[in-house]
Amino acid sequence: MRLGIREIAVLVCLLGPGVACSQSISGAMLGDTCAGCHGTQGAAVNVTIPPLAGMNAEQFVATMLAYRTGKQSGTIMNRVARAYSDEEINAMAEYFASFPTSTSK
Amino acid sequence: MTETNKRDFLKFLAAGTVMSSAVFAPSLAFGQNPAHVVVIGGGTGGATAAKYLKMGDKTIRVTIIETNDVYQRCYGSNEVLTGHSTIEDLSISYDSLRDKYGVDFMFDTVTAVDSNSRQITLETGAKLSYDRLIVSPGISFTWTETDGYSEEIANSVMPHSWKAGEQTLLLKRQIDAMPDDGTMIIVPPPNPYRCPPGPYERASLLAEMFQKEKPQAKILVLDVKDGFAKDQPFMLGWNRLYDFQIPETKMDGMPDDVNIFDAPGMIEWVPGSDGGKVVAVDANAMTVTTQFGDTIHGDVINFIPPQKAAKLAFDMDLTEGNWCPINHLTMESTRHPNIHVIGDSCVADEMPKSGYSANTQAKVVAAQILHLLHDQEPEEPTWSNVCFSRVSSEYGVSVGGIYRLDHETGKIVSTQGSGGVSPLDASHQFNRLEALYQGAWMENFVTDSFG
Repeated sequence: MRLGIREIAVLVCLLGPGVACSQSISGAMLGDTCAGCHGTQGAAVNVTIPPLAGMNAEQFVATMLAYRTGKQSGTIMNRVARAYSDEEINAMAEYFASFPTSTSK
Repeated sequence: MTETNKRDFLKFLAAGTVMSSAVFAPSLAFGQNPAHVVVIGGGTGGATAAKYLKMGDKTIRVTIIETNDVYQRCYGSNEVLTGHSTIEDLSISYDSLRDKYGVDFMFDTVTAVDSNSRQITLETGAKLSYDRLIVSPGISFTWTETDGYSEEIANSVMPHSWKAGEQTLLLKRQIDAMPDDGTMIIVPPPNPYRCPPGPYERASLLAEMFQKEKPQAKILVLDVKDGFAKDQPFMLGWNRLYDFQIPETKMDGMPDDVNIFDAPGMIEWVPGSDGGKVVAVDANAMTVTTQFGDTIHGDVINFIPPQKAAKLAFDMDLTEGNWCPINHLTMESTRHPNIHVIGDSCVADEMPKSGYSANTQAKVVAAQILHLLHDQEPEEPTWSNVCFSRVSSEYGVSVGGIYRLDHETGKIVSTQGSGGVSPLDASHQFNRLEALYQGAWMENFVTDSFG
């Protein structure tokens, strides 16, 4: 079995307590926590909350970084964006960009 | 359930506890048949887990065992009390999970679980086997901590309205029949309990309704606690909308333009340290008695009792104290192998007991079970919680949290420097948007969990 980056990171973390590791979280694991508001795989049915499915990855990253620094003010998104590293924001961007753009009902 | 019955229920369960999970852990590599994951409980946690399991691998079999063939969501039920929604609006069909995702359903009740042979027996006599079992049974109530209170009184005179359905309708009838200058008493439960901001959103939305329909009415919140989820954003909204006098202890960080009132407005909140704890109720006199000895009459008394894991979790020997301890990497019970516990019943450390928490716990358990069934190591998990509450139909407040696994302690912890509640210096537009997002959240959240 060929290991992806995610599996290797997990294996490093499992070597034992005390082993420093980045505990890298996959884009799917990260992105699925957004789905409660933004829809399954980003396909929101009520687009008052913006759908993320098919969003351009660079645009996603730029928006999240702007929320994180406060350059752009949202409501809850500033508080949410501050939880994530650059690497995690990139992983989420790739995850959502991998889905077709959703169409609202 | 008597002790003898409980032993029957667990006849074979105990044998499993001495063996490590790995010994029993079934994997796809050794079987010809597709793996079978059974989910007990078709609420938000169970439904989301089933959906995400099938999304992740449609070849596995997923069966939900649930008593009722329609789910009634709790979130949004405060709006049934005010007439903004109907009880039918709370009903969610399982058709989409069945037809779109291929989840199987058995509308039945679990009577026994054998964790050794991994077999479940149902009330109808049907038996089914599982490779992995997810238990998402929700909460039950402690009826015995307050003098004069009982389940019977909750079902007749002092409804809790903390599980949606008949309880919601009973409380609504009482509120509608309340005299125009009547007093409604809300008694929120001690921590931890389902939906921490719920009692206070209830007070808010009823105040909005009473302002129009019963402007002389009072809402008295008698709290065992000295603070609650989003308390400052709620109190600021109450101050602006319902002439609420913000207590001195909650003034820190409040904006300069808060109103100062000489007398309590429509909502009055009594914290535990000021005698808010209710120690007795009298269903005939319609009174509550506080720890400080005051006896207060209410025309409507919404007593929300203390909570613990659902009865099934106790019957299955999954509890320690009132809740179910789990390994947070996999959400697997620390008491019985191959059984995972999610939602309000599980110990999730810093995560609140909310539908959103159950939804993200379900996604973690689905991902980890798929790894385990494919002989892979579990992956690094993350969870989140987002909750919007309405202070009025046009004024919302929120709380959010992004959670991670602390590998040193094994606990779920909030990500430092992030999350938290709506800022107190938020603009009018901000709170307006949060009320709007609450409605959109409801639709997207129900669809993410059930459809």
